Amino acid sequence: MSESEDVLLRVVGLKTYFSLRRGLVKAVDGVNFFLKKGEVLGLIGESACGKSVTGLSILRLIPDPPGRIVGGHIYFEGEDLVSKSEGEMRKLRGSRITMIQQNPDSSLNPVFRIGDQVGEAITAFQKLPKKVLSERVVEMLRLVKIAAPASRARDYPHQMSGGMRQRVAGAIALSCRASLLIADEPTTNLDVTTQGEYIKLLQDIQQDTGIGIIFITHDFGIVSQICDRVAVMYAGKIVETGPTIDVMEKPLHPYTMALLDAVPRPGSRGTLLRSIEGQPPDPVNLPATCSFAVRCSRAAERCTKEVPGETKISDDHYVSCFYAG
Amino acid sequence: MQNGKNGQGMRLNLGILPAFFILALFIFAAVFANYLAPFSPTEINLSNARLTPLSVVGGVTYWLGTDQLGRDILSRIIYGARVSLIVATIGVFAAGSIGSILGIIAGYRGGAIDSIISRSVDVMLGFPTILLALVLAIVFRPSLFGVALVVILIYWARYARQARGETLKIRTMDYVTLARTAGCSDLTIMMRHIFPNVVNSLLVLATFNVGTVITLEATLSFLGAGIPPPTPSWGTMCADGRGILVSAWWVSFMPGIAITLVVLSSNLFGDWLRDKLDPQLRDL
Amino acid sequence: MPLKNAPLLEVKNLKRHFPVKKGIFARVSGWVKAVDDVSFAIDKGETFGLVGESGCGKSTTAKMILLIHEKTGGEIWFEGKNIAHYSGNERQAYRESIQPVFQDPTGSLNPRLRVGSIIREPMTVRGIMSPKETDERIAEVLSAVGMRPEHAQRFPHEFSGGQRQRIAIARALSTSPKLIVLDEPISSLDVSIRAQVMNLLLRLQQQLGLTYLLIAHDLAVVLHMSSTVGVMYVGKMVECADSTELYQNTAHPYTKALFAAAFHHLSDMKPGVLINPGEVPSPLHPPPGCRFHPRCPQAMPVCGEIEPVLKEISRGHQVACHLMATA
Repeated sequence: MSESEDVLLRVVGLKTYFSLRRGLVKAVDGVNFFLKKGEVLGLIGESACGKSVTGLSILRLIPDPPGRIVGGHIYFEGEDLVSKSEGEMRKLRGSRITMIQQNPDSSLNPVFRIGDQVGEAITAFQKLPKKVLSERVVEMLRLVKIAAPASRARDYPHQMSGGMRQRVAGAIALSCRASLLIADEPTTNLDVTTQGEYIKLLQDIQQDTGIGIIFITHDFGIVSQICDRVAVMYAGKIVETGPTIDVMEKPLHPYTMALLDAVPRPGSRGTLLRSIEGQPPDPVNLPATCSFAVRCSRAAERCTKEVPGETKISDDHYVSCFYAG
Repeated sequence: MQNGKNGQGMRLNLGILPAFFILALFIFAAVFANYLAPFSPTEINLSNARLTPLSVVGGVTYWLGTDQLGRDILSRIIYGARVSLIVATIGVFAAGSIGSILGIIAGYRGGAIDSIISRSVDVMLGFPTILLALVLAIVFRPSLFGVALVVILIYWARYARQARGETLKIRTMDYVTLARTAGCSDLTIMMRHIFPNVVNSLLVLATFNVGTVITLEATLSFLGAGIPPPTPSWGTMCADGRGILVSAWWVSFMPGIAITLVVLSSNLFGDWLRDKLDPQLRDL
Repeated sequence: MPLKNAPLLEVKNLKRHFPVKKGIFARVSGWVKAVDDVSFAIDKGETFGLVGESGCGKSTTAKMILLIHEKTGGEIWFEGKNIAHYSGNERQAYRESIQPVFQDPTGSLNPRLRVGSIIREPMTVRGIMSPKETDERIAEVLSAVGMRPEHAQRFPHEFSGGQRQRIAIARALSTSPKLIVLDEPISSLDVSIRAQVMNLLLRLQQQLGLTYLLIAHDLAVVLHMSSTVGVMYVGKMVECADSTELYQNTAHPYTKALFAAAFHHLSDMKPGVLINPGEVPSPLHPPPGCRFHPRCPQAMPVCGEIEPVLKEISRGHQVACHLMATA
């Protein structure tokens, strides 16, 4: 499959299912998107929409049992990750593709100094003599804007605040000069004033290194800050995708609209927000209809019988809805 | 389709059926010993001494043979099950109840009460079990009651420690805080919120404890500090056959097998129960 | 003698300091001033929002009001009476008048109890109501939160996160409280469910004449639901005003930074401009003088030396900042 030069990642028809005792969970059910080199794509949705599972599928970190990738392709730099062996994937992880997670405490080992942990990450990627390694560690810590990096390298994780730990997690993730970063809600557990700084940090690093980022989040505010394009997920499928500005200013899918409406803004005090009735569907045994139909104010007969396909609205803006556009 | 780390695959569920069967048989034998045992367990018949298993004498089969006093091994094993079951039931139930209550109180109240109970637990757990059991058994005079008492004194500490640990975790849950905010008394909170959420792990501990208790009783009886003759106990039976291991191996061997099977089964049952009750494994 | 028009709840100079003990002899080496001299008042029928980031003391303040934590200083007045002077029965009545809803809907419900028993619990402590009365009340509050009376027979795990939070709210309503303390009631919920629950809380307030103390770190939510807002930073109240006034005439530099961080996508305010890089300080080692001064782009020399005091700069609008004094 010939790939245009600037497409870093292309996901086609990805399906990741989990076989649980109570039924089959189609966590990711036919997902298509792409990421250009140096671009930031936001993957937005609520809990159990499949966004985290998508990120883990790209890294082939889905626990088997009970989950497995049952269909689709993940083309990274031209090669299909789905057909690679575990050994080949291990070479890619931590060198070409890397990840930051929501909870920095689970990424950092509490009994090792943070300098050692960053050093370990660098060493896994390239062997360096001790002195050079220490210098690289300090360099990485400085890259993530940790003040006094040389002395902080000797600290243990518990001696640092949450925001700093997340920066260290970032240093560990980025130490290998990867071309793709998957950031799974890295700012959710941070204070709101720290969030802004962290996002700015990621933006600076992204501009300097040209790394491609898939940014998984539930917050459109963050999407508007850092993401060039955004894909909205619901019940395992992407319902709308396009440039951030377009999607946020002229959302086409009822779910996207509802998600944008649900956030209070100044001046809305005391009024009732436009909320969506019901809750996200039980991911077990989803029927073959539009999953949002039950909660959709625009739902018609067709929505309860078929799954909508992708409709191209403009050059880059796609939506999965029978009644959009 | 390839995927990430591949682990264990499906858990074998076949192993648990024999364990269930043996435990059911054990309980059944203990309860209905009177109807099941082909002979009296205590009747001495020297002319039938040391019969090998499957011997037929006078049209009657001695399935597991006889001991040096002519007593039928099979019948003694069946009646011995009763002894083991009684000691295990009383011992585990009493030790479990007392230990759990003390553990929950220690974990919930903290402070001085916790210190006292925890130090007692540490002391009890620090003692070598057999030594302590022997000393206690001699103090209380060998008897069924005495053995049960020994079991309680030795094992309550394990339950207390487990219960305390679980309680410390549950205590921080929001629903406990909400109960305190509502003004509920400590006792209400311990009964309504702590105990039901702690009881599962204690049940698992109890199933493992059954095996340990049966072994302890057998050991004590073997050493002569347990159930006194003529009541058949598997431990005493093992002791009885010690001197004739070469010539009449079945006298010790058969009760030994019985102990092994029951302890093994109760351990497997404990494993199964723990997996069943663990909410994280529930979906697999 | 309780005053007629006294606020429903008033908190005066509330403190929660606890000692940090180090060494073998457990000498007191420092104090964590989790809540340091905080005062505010809540009128009947209004919503008072307490906003701030981690370590600011807002949750600790709420827990002192709920009698979960012991206060180390200051007073709490309810309906014009100092609660320190309550008898045992009055204290229990106070617990029934002020009910909490916590952040985590799953942790708030005992997985082993049926929903009905969970809701019933606050009503049973004084034993005033008969079983029939409590059953009726349970059905009533379940309907009020948009659920069905039959749900009382089910267990928490049978419900979604949003529904569990509704159950928690139903439980809080069971004793017909006057004030509900909402500690981050929606931050653990999905975005689309948050709006539902916020709407529910607003409707209940109108229907039942409830008063709310809302604690949250999300400024947008606090502004949406509150009539008065108090901003806290490392144990101190730095600004307190009517919510519209706070939005239109933001005074304290920290509040401005919070606004920028919360609403940057609606305006051109860049978060980086209004706050110096750095982390929120820990309450164990607060900076000298004004606790915000190391991160404040407008800090003056006096800010590092003397702690500013809450002063009224316009009607109902209080700020603790030296910049106001020089203005």
